[in-house]
Amino acid sequence: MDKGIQERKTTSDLRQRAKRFCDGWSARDLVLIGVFAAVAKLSTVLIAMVGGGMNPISLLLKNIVFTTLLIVMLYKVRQPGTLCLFVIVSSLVNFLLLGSNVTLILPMLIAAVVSEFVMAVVEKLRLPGSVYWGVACFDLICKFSSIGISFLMMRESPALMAVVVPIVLIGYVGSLIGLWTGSQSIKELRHAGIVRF
Amino acid sequence: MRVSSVSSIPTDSPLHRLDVRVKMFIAALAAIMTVAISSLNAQLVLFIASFAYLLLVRRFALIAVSYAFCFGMMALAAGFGFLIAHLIPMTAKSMQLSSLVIPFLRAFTVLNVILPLAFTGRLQEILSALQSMRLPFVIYLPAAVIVRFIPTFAHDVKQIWESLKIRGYKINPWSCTIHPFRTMRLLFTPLLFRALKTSDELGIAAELKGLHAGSRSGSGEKRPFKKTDYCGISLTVAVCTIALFLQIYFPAAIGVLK
Repeated sequence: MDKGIQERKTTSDLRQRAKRFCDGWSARDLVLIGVFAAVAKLSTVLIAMVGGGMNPISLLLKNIVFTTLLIVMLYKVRQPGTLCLFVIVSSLVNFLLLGSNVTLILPMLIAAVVSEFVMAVVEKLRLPGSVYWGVACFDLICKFSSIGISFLMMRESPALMAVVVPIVLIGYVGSLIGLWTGSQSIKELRHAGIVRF
Repeated sequence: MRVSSVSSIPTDSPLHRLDVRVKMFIAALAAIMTVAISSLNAQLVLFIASFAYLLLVRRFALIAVSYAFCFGMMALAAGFGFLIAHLIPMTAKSMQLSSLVIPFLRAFTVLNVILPLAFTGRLQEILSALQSMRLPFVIYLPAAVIVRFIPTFAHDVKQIWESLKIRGYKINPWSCTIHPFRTMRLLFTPLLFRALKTSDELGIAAELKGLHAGSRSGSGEKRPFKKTDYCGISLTVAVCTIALFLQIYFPAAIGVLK
């Protein structure tokens, strides 16, 4: 009997905690996350179309734009869990609308959770640039896990990975450049008063 | 002209009658099964079943274009693979036909199950599906914003494109390759500011409506599955069971690929 009451108490306590955690986001933050998820997805599709598919320059640009947008969004919404929410929402809608590969969702979620942890640690240590550390970590884990998923798909013919690895590496170089363009964008947006932190 | 082109897209295919949640379930299960299974016989069953599912969309031209693109990518991958096998003889075994078929079948199976989601999902249906999933409001609101923002974004891109044309800039694959940073600056900066402006406007509107993280997502109405949905789920489970059976009891390749 006592055990049952205790279990119910724990469940309601967890619900309360989850509710308090979710209350951290205002409607404005949630809308911003949605808009940035849409812009990130559609602008990368647009650049891929403009660049003509497998063009390495467009691969670079796609990743630069994505990383820059991610940095701007994380500076605009300074709430723990924002990256995870962004990944959940964009994966869900990409899956529904564009039919993106389901196998990539789990690694992306793991990457988001690890990056949130990294951001929290950097902030706790009072080191500068927690957002950049988090985004760099997210990009790195995402790229490595996409190589892992590709290997799982092509495990019978590992030689085919010779095509996947350069594409992912070019993408990662784009993400690294995106960290720099992101910091430049933040400087400009801060100067314009759009980003306050 | 526009009316005729829209009306030529079939909207009464069996897949349009299937619930979005069922299509999501099929895509998720097929992706997991195709990664988990390594037997050629089982992969063939999954591919044939998923191809039949894709044909139900009845957009044959689009299917042909998607397949042509996928074949092109695979030919490129195989070409590089053969080159490596030629340079490093140790990897030659992995470039045999029997080893190549399975990864390609996997890719085509995934393509077959995700294309119906992309081809048959209407925005309103997707919004209703999101409501019926009873997601937490913190997930539902951004997802609904993405779905609703797409037409606005398309309009924004059109305006930016026209403004670039007026200023004498040509954006095409060649200019994108030769002047990547100029292309990025011309496309990205206006898009970023438009996104910030739109999110501010929509955010204020949402707050004025009294929406907050604790709000309810949708009307909470239950959308029960229909007979076609149950049929779709049963058929998917049956195909996966057959594939699993083949994986366990007949793992060896058959016929010419042995």
